[in-house]
Amino acid sequence: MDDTSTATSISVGIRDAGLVCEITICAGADPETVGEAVCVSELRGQGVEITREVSERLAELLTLHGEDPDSPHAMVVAQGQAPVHGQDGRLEILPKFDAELAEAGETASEPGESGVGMDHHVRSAFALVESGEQIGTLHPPQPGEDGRSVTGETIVAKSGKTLLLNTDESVVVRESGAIVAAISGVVQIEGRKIRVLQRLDVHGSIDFSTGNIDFPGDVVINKSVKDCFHVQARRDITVHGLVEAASINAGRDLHLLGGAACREKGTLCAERDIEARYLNECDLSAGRSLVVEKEIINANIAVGADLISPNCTIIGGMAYVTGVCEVAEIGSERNIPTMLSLGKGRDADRLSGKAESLLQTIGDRLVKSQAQHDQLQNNTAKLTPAQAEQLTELQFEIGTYRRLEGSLTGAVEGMQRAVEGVAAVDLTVLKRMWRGVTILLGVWEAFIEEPIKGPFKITCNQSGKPILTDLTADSSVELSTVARVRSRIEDEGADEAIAA
Amino acid sequence: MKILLVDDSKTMRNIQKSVLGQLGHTEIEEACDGVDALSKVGAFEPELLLVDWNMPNMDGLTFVKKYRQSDKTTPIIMVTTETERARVVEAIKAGVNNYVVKPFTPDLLSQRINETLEKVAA
Repeated sequence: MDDTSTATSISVGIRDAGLVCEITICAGADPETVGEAVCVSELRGQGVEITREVSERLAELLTLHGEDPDSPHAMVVAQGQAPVHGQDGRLEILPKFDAELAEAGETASEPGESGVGMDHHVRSAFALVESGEQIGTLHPPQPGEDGRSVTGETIVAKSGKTLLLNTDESVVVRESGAIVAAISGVVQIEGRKIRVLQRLDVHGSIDFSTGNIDFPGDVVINKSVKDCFHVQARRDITVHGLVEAASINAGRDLHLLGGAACREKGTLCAERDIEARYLNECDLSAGRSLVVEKEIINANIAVGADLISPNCTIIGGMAYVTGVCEVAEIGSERNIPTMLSLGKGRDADRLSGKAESLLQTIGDRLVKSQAQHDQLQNNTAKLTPAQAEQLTELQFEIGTYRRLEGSLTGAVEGMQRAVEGVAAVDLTVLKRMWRGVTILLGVWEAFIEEPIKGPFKITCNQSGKPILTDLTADSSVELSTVARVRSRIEDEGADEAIAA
Repeated sequence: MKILLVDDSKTMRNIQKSVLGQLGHTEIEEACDGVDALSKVGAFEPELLLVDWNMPNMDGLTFVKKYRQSDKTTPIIMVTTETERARVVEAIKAGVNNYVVKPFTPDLLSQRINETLEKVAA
């Protein structure tokens, strides 16, 4: 409340919480009576400090009044110093993680890129953070500065308040105020709540609006994965929609709830299990089991453990199943060529093929070097120094190739023995296996030339020969009685190969 | 053991290095002629030298003669196409300890190296 002093001809008012003091001289007041002494006395009476500035203002006011005593005059003669209140603690988020900036398009997932000539597949719409990476800074409150009234009293400044962050163990606030991710993941900021989540939820599809995904935790995609995009996660990946010609790589399990139609371009890979509604023209590799609800069409699949899908039909393509295989049908009425390799890993087969090709190359070089060596040695009466050196080189080459050939042959044989040794065949077909199906069972190859009605099981007997068991009649016959079966080892009897 | 290979052919040096590697020797220095070898013996201080005869700049025989002026004991094996008796004697007189004639097999080179080292040790 303002405090006003009333005299006969002057009044002193203090307002604005003691920060302003104003003197008013009434109209008609006698300049001779209303002088400096009276004014100073009145100000002192109100407790106002008389500084040089105040005296100067007062003199100015009295001069004005002396020039025109019939009019009232008012003037602010003293001003205090307002307090500067302290600032509250505040949160500063780095632009990369600031959702508002991101929405305004002010952040770039790849700093320094202008967007010209860049691959838009690699742009990411998500604020991904690596463990140890700074997310933002928590600034402490500022103390503020006290003010002073016209009467010389201290006006206490308000202190800033500490901002209390809501974090969990996924985020660490250092002494310096740096807010750092304790784990890798996606940053979630809601007001004062900051978290690093190990699950990335993509509400739409993986397309140009999201870019490729490479996430350190779980990824859940609510729609589809479009052509040419990559999704990689260190843990599980779940796709609710369709996977097109994209590549997906899960560090643990892969759930393809909408199926995959990869048009022979997409690859699907999981270190552990894969479940899918259907698989069409894709290259798939499951470290452990595969479960398919409907069908596998023209796909190249490798299953590290079991393929148990009692309602699934495999049509076309190549399937390697290391463990138990149980499906409804294999092949189709139209005799589509379909290959199934049981009890042997695709990688082992490829490795074996590579080693054999390398052996062939070494063998060819050995023959060539030996021919050069023999020609030089047999057709030259006296060697020139250059020929002598060439012969030494050829002898060295031949020795090296022979050593390589020997050790590689041993390794390939050992690997083949190891693979065949663990080749346990267990195939159950519940409905039918059609003509055109080829089954590789260890050293045997079976060509289905007439449809075989299920339910039946194919295994190998103690002597290693494939047998077919009718699960309805519970009777067994050698597979060769219902299919054309031959040994895969040429120039050797299969029995001898198994014995070896 | 520190071994210096002196040969102008990199392929030959590689073959010798491979044979020495199989014998367990890995501390190997290479020189492409006699001049290069003389510049390296001081710092490297080899314990065995394999020296080719025919090389540019300074041939193997000249190198052996110069090297023997300061070092009379480190074994030297001459690896060469020179087979004439007089040439062999000339090399032995210059201070060569053993002789391998090209073409040689890795086994023969390995045998000569072992022989030479055994003789020196005895």
